[in-house]
Amino acid sequence: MPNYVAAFDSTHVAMQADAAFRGLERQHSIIPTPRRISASCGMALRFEAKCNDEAYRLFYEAGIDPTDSHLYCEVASDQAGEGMRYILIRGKSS
Amino acid sequence: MDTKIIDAFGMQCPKPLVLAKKELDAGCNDLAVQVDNETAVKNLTRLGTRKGMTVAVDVIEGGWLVSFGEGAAGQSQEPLSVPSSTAGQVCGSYGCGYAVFVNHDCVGDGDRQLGRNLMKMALYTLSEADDVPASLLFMNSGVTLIAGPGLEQQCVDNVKALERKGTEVLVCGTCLNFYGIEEGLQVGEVSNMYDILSRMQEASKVITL
Repeated sequence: MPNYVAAFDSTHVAMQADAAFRGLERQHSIIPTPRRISASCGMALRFEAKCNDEAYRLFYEAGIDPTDSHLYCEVASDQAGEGMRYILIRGKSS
Repeated sequence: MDTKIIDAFGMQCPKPLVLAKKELDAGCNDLAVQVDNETAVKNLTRLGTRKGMTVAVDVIEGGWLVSFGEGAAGQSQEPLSVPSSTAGQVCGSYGCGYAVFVNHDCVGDGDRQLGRNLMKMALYTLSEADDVPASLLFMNSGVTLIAGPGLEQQCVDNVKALERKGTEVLVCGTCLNFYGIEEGLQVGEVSNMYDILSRMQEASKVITL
């Protein structure tokens, strides 16, 4: 299953998201925000989902503030030695 | 192809490791290193295992012969004469590895949940790095991250990843006993003050989270 990374502009929103995922009993990891993702908060959530739709659904079920968060899909880079790439699935909404 | 032999008698750690690594990185897959100290045996064995090579250790006059060959990862043999309490640090060019000391179940003072999240992030980052600690040492409430009902599964998974990469994980037995969680240890080896302090003393630096 692909990995998704939720990045945040606020640490409080990041920690609320973590608590919400724990409440949903959804396995996830708290990771430092990958360098390739631009976000104000250094804390991100990484979780598996079958597809983009499921990732969105989880985001909404968890009640994550859409004005302060971004959702990325993690993919392997096709350039050797480059690590992972992050494709923006849903940016911060106004 | 003839076996390349390095005579490292009289050389202290990390020199035998540096010489062996240079040959192995250059593609040598039939290498033997003569050493006269147990620390070097442990470190060379760990180097070969990490590189997925077969490692054989034979007792020779004056010391040991550590032989590297092509093979499946994880196969290594150590002579029975190497005591298990020998420090197993990995040496780099500038010293004998680094130790990470976790003596609390969260990073810093202040908000506790923030501190626990910071700890998860720190262990995750360490586990993803190429330069992993030679040893990861848990004491006091730090042990509760990886044992017992309050453990953090993410921390357990990341510490297991570090173990696979060669980090030695030592967990204070007194502390496990204090918290009543000896039976619940998920990763690492139950240890004692002597061994934990010994790893700190032998490391080139100790990072306290």
